[in-house]
Amino acid sequence: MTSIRQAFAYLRPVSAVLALLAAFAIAPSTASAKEECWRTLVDDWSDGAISNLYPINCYRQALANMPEDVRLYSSASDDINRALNGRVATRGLASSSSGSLGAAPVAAATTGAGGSGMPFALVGSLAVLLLFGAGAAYLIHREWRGAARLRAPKDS
Amino acid sequence: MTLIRCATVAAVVAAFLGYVVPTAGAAAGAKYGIHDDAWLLNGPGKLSSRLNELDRVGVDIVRFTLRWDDIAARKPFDARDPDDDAYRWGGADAVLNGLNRRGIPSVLTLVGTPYWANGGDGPTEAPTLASSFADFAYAAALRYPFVRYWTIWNEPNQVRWLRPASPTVYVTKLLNPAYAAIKQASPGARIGGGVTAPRGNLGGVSPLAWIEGMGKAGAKLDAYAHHPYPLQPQVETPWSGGCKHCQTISMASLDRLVAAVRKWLGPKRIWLTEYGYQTDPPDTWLGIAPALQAIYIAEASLRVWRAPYVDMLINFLYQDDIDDTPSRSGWQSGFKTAAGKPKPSLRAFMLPLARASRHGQQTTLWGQVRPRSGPQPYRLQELRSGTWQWLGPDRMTERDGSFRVTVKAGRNARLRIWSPRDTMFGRTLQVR
Repeated sequence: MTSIRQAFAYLRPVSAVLALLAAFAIAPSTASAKEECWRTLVDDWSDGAISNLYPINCYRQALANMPEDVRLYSSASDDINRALNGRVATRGLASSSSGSLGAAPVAAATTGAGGSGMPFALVGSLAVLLLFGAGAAYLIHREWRGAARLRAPKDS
Repeated sequence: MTLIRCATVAAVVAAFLGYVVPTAGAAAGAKYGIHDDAWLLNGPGKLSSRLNELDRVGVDIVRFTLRWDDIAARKPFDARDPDDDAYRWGGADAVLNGLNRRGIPSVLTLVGTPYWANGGDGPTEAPTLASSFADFAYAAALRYPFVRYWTIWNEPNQVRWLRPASPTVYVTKLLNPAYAAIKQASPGARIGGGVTAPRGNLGGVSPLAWIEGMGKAGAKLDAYAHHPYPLQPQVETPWSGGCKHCQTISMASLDRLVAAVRKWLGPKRIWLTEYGYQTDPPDTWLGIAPALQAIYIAEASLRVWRAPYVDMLINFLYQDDIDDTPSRSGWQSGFKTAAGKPKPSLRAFMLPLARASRHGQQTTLWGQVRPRSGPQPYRLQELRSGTWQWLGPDRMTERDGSFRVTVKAGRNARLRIWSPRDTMFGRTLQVR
């Protein structure tokens, strides 16, 4: 048991590093997404169609903030309005208030991330990182358990 | 047998001479021009060098704006007299006289209400009295008697330009009074009304509803002017992608514009007084690649050339705006970047080349040599095995600089124009 405890003690710094990495990954992306989700939405529109889902406020911010040439000389405001109406209808009026998602960042429709607060690529990267960390932790754990078993006297 | 042999020899010779068969001659087509007040008035170098540059690249027509609220910031004593002390014609005199000296026609747009003419409101508010705008139009027509083309207001279907954005107000307070006044001062003048944006936006009126409203209000005009900007530039070409069921009108839905004008206003000419594709960089939202802008310049030219009812196509901006605003609201549809570097579209404007049709290996091309007037020599080249090779001998364009030829070139063939008088090649066209 002492050996296993020692092994987990050894893993503590690894967990701390992982937590720190995760914090670094989340914090700036959430902050920038709060400011920029409407820009991401207009970027998405400019490819030809709005192919992702966004929190309601992003649509409203896009309609309010898009540059004059985009608002007056393109179909962006119509298209985004239509997408907003669709989004509101899909989510239902109760959950469509800005409070429910706040100015929360972009959620990729295809991932079903549902307003996780991070762009898809970042979510993916973080997931890979955490999986890698968990895998490493598991392997180290197994290694230490095996070593502890070997060190234990057979007749004890 | 001899006949067959002769025919075979003739065919071989024709093929050897370059696979080029001229098709039916083109009718005198539309004028192709630019609209860039800021560049004309305050661009790099001297005004004379800028005007010479427009002449050199083959600009057929220039749209220019006369701001009533600037020129008549003070109420004139005799508003019909262009020499009234209150009028300040500013840089317009130099620009318009300079264009006239070079034989480049102008299309003049009158816009902007002075505070004294609308009870102290801003320039977008309609004038209180129809006669005040008519008097200004009369004075302008007297001052610039050589100007043949006039348009009344700019995009009045948007509240950004006219309040209220009402076709009835537009017709009764602006268009009809100005039409009568300009014709009185300059009987040969042609007056364009509408001058609509491709969409109405919040508080505005769609161009289709605007045309109907103008018709019902008894509009007087010689041509209907419109700005058929693409509404989703990344997916909309001059020929396809326009919204089929919308009330908006872009180049892709030009036929709908013509139908509506014919229905409500009669068989009027069509003037496309603003058009263009912005480029990315720098505009990531409305911009397309500069090379694609060049392709669309040529395709839009062909589309207009094929439409016998369209008299002009004017590209908005010669040189891009400097876009240093936080909202990125500047325009980048020019033929030059904000720094003055030519984009591919400049050569596409000078020597446009587009595929008119293709049947197997037979491709019909349309093109134009825009610099200078009258028939121009040109020659075609094809890229074969990595080397540019002549495709036929020197040929002459029609009087308007255009040509239409059928060549032996299949899908993905790469072709370009050579203009010996300009000692330059046009942009490469990849046949679709």
